[in-house]
Amino acid sequence: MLLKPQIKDIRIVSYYLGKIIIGLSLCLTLPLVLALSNQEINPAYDLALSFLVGLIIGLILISVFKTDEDLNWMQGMSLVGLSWLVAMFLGAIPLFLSGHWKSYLDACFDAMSGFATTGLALVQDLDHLSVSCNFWRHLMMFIGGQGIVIVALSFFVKGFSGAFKMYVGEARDERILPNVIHTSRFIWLVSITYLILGTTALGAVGMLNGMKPFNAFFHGACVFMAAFDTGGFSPQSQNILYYHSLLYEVVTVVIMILGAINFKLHYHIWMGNRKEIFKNIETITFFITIMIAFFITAIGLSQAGIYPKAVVLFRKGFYQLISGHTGTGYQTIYAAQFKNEWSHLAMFGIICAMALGGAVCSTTGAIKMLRIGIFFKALLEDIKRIISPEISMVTQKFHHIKEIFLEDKQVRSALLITLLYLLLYILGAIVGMVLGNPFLNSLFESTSAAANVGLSCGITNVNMPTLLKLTYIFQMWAGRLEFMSIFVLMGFFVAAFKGK
Amino acid sequence: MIEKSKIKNLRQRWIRLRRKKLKQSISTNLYKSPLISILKFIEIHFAKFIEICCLWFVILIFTFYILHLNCYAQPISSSELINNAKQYDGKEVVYEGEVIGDMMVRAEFAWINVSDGRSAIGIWIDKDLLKDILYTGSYKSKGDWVSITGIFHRACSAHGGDLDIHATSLARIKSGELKQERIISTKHNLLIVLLGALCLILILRRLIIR
Amino acid sequence: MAGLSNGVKMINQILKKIKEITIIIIKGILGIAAEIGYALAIMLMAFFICILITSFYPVR
Repeated sequence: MLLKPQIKDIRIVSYYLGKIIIGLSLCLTLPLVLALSNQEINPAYDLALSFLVGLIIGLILISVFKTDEDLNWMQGMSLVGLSWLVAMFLGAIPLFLSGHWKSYLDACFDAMSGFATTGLALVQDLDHLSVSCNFWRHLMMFIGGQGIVIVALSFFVKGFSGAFKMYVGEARDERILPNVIHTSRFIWLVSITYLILGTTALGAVGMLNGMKPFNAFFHGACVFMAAFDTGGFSPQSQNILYYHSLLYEVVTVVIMILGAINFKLHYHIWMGNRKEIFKNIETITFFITIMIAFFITAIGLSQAGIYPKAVVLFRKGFYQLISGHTGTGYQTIYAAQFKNEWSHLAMFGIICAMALGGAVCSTTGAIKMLRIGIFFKALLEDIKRIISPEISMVTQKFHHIKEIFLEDKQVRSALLITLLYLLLYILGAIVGMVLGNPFLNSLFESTSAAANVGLSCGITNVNMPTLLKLTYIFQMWAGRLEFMSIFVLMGFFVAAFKGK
Repeated sequence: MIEKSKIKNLRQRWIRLRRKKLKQSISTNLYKSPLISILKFIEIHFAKFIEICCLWFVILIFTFYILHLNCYAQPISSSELINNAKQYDGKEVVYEGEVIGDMMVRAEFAWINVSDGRSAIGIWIDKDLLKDILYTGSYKSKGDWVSITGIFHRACSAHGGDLDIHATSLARIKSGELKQERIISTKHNLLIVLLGALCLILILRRLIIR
Repeated sequence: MAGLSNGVKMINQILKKIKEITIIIIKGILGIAAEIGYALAIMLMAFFICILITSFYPVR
C-alpha cells in the first residue's frame, strides 16, 4: 500500500534541498575569485549571477520550509535524487552564460556530466574558454566525485541518522568511521592530500614539458581533479593528447588508479594496514579484470595492425583501457579513431572494461569490483557445493578489510545492481541504434554514459539529437546514484498521485 | 618530303569534311537543341583552340595526379585528416589553423597545437620556426593563423603513436590579437537586481528570526 | 617544585603528541607509497602483456 507523501515530507526535503543548494552556491565563489584575480570580467558576472540565483533559492527554501526534524529513508533518498537534478540546473547556469554551449540543454548535459564524473562534453571552442569557467567545470567533477551530499554533510548538516540515509542514497554504503560526518571529512582529507601531491606532480611535469608555470599548475589542478575523481574533463579540446608526454600520461594513470580505490581501503592503508592492498577482494579483482580486458584489447589492436610497437600499444591501447576501466574517460586518441581504426574486438575489450568500473565507495561508476568479486565467489561456492558430498556444509569467505562470510542477501544485492546496470547500458544502446547509429558504437557510447566513463567514439557531439542527449543525461544520473535514489524519487511522485 | 605533304593534305581535307558535316548538323538541329548547336558552332570555328585546351587539360590532370600521390598542396582540414588518417599517413600535407595553448619547447624541437576550428592537431616543429609566432589562442587572445607543411602521421612511432604532423615549414598567414572584453549591460543590470533581492531576503530573515 | 614538575609534564605531553602525529604522518606516507606502488605494478604488468602480444604480431 502506497502512502501519499505529506506536507511534512515535502517540507523536510525542501529544507535540506535548500541547504544543499546554498552549499553548492558557495562552491561557485572559488571560480569567481579566480575570475576576479585573472581579470575575466564576463565570466565573473556569469559566476556571480549563478551564485546569487543559487543563494536566493536556497535561502527562500530554508526560510519557508524551516524544520528540525530528521530525515527518514524515503525522504533521504528522494532528496539525493532531487538534489542531483537541481545541482545540474544550477551548475549549468555559468556554462550557458559563457556562450560556449549551443543551448541550455547542452549546458545541463555538461553539468550533469561534470557532477556525475562522466566526462562527455558538448562544449564548443574549449580552447578559448575562460580560466574560471574551465575551473568550474573541473570543480564540478571534484564535488560530484566526493558527492554533493558529502559537501553538505561535511559543512552544513549536524550529525544525526538522517545524514547516513543521504550518504547511502549517494551510492556510498561503506562505513569508514563510526560517524558519517567524520567519514565524509576523511574522504575530503584523502582528496585534498592527493590534490596537493597530484597538482604538484602534474605541474612539475607540465613545466618540464615546456608549459608556462601558471598554465602548468592550473592544468595540473584541473587534470588532477578530473583524474582522481575519474571524471575526464580536460582544459583543452585534445584531452590528454594536448600534452604529448609519456610522463604526463603515466602520472595521470597513477592518479586514475588511486581514484578508483575504495576510500575505506585508503583509510586502512593510511592507518598502517598496507598488506590489505594485496588481500582485498576489490584490488585483486581489479588487477585481474584489467589484465583480461587489456589482453582482449591488445589482441584486437594487434590483429588490426594499428600499433605494432610495444611502447605505442602501451601508450595508446593501455591508456584508453585504464581510462575506461577506472571510469575516467581521458583519451590520447581522437574519438573518430575509435570508430575508424580500432577493431571490433578491441572496442569490445574497452566496453567490457567500462562496464565493470572500479571499487565501491570510490569516485568511479559502473558495476564495481566488489560486486564482480562477490559474483565469482558465489559461483565458486556453487561449484564447491556440487562437487562436495551432500551432507557437507559449504561456506565461502571473502576478504574486504576483514574476513566476511558470503551470504545470499549480499549475492542477491550484487546481482540485482549488476542486472540494472546491464539493462541501463542496453537501453542507451537501443536509443542510439533507433537514431541511426551502428550497434557497437551505440553500445560503446551508452556504456560510457551509464558507467560514468566519458570515452567517446564520436556519437556525442553538438549535433546529436535531443532524445539522445536526454537519454545520456538520465543514464549519467542513474548510473552515478546506483538507481535506488532515482527509484525512490519516482516512487515519491507516483505515491503523490496514487497513494492513500 | 612527298610523304609529309601528302599527310598535310590529308589532314586539311579531313578538317574541311568535318566542318561541312558540322554545318549541316547545325542547320538541321538548330531548333531541336540550341545548346548543342551553339557548342557545335564553337567547335567549328575554334577547333584548333579547343585542341590546344584539351592538350593542356590532359597535362594538368597528369601533373595533378603525380602531385596528388605525394603532396596535398591545398590545406586539408583537421576532420579530413583525422577521419581519413590511413589515407594521409606518411604523406606531406598542408594544414592551416590557429595556434592554441602553450608552445612546448623540448630541446631543439617543440610541440604546438594548431586548431582549424573543428579539431586541434599536434605539430612537432623545429623551435627556430616558431620565432614568428606572437600570439597563441586562449580566452584573452586570438592566436596567429599559420600554414604548416609537413609529414602527417596517423600513429607516430617516434611519439608514442600520437596523430601528429612533423612540420618542415611554417608560414604565418594572419596575426593574432588580444581580445577586448565588453561588459554586457543585461548581465550588469540583472546582477544589481539579484543583489537587491538577496539583501531583501536577508533583512526579512532577520526580522522573522527576531 | 610543583610548578617545575607541571612544566615537565606538559612538555612530555607535547612531545608525546608530536610523536603520535609523526607516526600517523609516516604511516600515511608509507600508505600513499604502497598505493602508488600498486598502480605502478598494474602498469608494469600491462607493459609485459604489450611485449608479449606484439611479439606474436610482427610489424607488417
